[in-house]
Amino acid sequence: MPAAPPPEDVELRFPANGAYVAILRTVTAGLAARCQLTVDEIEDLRIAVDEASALLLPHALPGSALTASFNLEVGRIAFVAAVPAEPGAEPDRGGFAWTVMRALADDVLVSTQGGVLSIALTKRRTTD
Amino acid sequence: MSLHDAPGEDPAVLRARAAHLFVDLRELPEQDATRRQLRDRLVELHLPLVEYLARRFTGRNEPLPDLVQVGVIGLLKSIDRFDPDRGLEFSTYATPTILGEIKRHFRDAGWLLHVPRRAQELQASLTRARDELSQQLHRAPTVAELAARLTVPEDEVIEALDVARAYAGVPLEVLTEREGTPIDSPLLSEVDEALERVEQRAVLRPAIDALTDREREVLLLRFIVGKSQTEIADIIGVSQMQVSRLVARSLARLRTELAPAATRPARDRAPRGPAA
Repeated sequence: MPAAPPPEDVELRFPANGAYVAILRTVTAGLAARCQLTVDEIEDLRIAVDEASALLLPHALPGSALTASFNLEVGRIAFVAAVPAEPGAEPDRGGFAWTVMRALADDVLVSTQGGVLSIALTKRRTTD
Repeated sequence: MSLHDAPGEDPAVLRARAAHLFVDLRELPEQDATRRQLRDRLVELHLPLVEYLARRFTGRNEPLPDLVQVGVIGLLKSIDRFDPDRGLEFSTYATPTILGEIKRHFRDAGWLLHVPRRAQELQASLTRARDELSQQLHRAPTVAELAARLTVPEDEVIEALDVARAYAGVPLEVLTEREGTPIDSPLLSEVDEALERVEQRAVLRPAIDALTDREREVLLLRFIVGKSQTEIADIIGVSQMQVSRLVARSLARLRTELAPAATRPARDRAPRGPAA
C-alpha cells in the first residue's frame, strides 16, 4: 500500500424510517468498495448495517432522523448509526438481529448519551 | 428485513437449550448412538437462524429452500467444530460459517461473475427502456417507471445504475495502488488527477468486458477477492502455474485493449508477479 491517505468522513441523515434502509445499504456497499474490502466483506457489512438499523429504528423518537456516519480508510470502514431516543433505550440483544450483527462486524459498541442511542461497527479487510 | 423476521421462539430459551445439548454431546463417547440424535436436535433448534440468514440472500434467482440447505451444511460444520468451553455463544460462532457456505454457493454458481454481466444486461435493457419511456412521457423516466417497464424491483434498477458501478470502480484502484508499485504499464501507472482516473475507469470497463469469462474470473479472484494463486487454482480447478499464466495473459490483454495502436509501447513487459 502507498503512504496511507488520511481517513475520510461521510455522513448521511435521513428520516428514521425503514424505507430508507435500502438506500443506506447501497451507500454502504459503495463506500466499502472504496475502502477495498472484499466482496464477501462488503456483503457482511451490508447485512450488519441492516441489522444495526433494525435494532435502532424501533427506539427512534417519532419524526426524528437516523444519522449514519462512515469513517473510511483503505482496508477499514467504521460505521456509526444514531437516533434520538428515550433515556435508557437499549437495542434488543436477545434476537437474531443482534447475533448476526455481532457475528459479522469486527467491533460493536452501543452507547446511549444525551438522548441519543447509537451503534458503532467496524469492518476490516482480513486478507491482503 | 426487520426484527419481525425473527421466528416465534424466544432466542434466550433457544440458547439455553443449545448450551445444554452441547454439554451432553461433549460427555458422550464418540461411538454413542445418541450423539446423532443430539446433533439432529441442535440442527432443528438452529434452523430458524439458518432461515433468517438465507432470507437475506433471496431475490438473486436462488430458491430459499436451496439456500437453507446450503446453510445447514454450514450449521453442521459449526456443530462439529464448536467448543463450548471457549465461552462464545453458539449462534455467534455459527453465523459466519453458515453465511460462508451460502456465499460460497453463490460463488460456485458463478454469482460473482454474473454481477457485472447481469448489470451489463440490465443496463442494455435500461437504456432501451429509458429511450422508449422518454419518448412516451416527453421527459426522463423515474426509477419506479423503469422498474415497472422492466418488471424488476426498484432496488435492482438502482443497483444496476449505482452499485454495479461502485463495484466496477474497485479494480482500477486495486490494480494501480497495490503495494504502492504500479503495474508496469504506461496506461495503468499511477494517476494523480481524479478526473483522469474517472476517464481511465471508463476506458477500463469495456476492456474488462472484452476478456473471456475465465480471464475475468481469474482477475476478479486475484485482485478483487484477494485470493492467492494457489487458492484460485483450487477454486477453478487448474494448476497454480496455469493460474499464473492466466493472470499474466489477462493483464496483457487488458493492456492491449487499453493502448491505442499508435501509442502502444514497443516493449511489452511481463506483468509484475502477484504477491501470493
